[in-house]
Amino acid sequence: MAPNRLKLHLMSGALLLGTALAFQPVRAGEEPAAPAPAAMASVDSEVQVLKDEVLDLNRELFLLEEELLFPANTQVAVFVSMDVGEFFDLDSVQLRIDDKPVSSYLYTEREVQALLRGGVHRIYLGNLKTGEHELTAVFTGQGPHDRDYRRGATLKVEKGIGAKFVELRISDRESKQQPEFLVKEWE
Amino acid sequence: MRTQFLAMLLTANLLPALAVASGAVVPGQPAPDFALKDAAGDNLRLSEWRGEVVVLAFWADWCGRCSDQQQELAKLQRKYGERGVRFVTVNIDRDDHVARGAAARSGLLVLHDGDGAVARQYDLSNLPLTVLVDAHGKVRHVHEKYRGGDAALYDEELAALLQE
Repeated sequence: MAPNRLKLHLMSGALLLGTALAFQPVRAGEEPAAPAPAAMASVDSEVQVLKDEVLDLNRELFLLEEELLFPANTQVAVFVSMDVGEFFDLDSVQLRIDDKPVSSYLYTEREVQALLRGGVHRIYLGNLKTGEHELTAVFTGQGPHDRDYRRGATLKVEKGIGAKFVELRISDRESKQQPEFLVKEWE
Repeated sequence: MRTQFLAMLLTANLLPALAVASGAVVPGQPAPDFALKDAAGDNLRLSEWRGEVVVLAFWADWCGRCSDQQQELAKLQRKYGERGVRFVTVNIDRDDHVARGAAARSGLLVLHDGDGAVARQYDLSNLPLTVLVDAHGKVRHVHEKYRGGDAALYDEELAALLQE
């Protein structure tokens, strides 16, 4: 919540400043002069500079937010990947950590195609304290012969100091003509 | 004068941002993204229609005005459907058979939000709720409830969005 509050403070401050400047009184009887073209061009370039600065500030705030919300020593990221996919048509993945639902994601046809082309989807980014945790992923979709298919995979992870990355990989097991669901840790 | 102009610009840009911080769907801000199932069971995601104008209409079976609105939306779909406007209705009834029946009857795309997760994202408090999203994925117009004549307003707004 801290970065959001920080953002809100920054925005509120800027808003107050903006409002104060915007409502500066114009002297009675004073006609506002039409701006010269050169002055307008100058305003345009200043607006452009201002826009660039806002974009830079936004990027910095985003990075700051990520760092504050998910510090490296408690960070856990979970990714979904797919290999081949002949025996499984992915519909959704639900993720639980220590029996608490933390993420649920419906995959569209386009997203499944992206996964099949080698894309990796970050389904969860969060914090975990050090120690042992249980991660359970439930995959739903259509299995062989277009049957509804629901399968879970569980992994006990030991969270130490430093970021933890977990990959949920869906692949085909040719020998059994069945999909296979693997949960793998990356340090 | 220049300072005043910049200050006004800054203020105008910041007001919607503050409103978003309070959780409302605000014109000028990105439409909250979501994925839901359609009547055929396919998953569809709002952000995948980027580049098209989207009319998003939330409704329920028990809402009488919603069915009046849907008839008008079906007419607008015939007018704008091939001109880059996508009509998406979101049914919030718990049971999905209502959504499937409506999709077959109206010819509109019906997504089912049985657990109300998307309705909460859009801060739904009145039905129907209609949100017009531009080709960049930003909310441009928000209409709560439905009165006769609103369809003409949607028509005007869609024509303007298509000309941008």
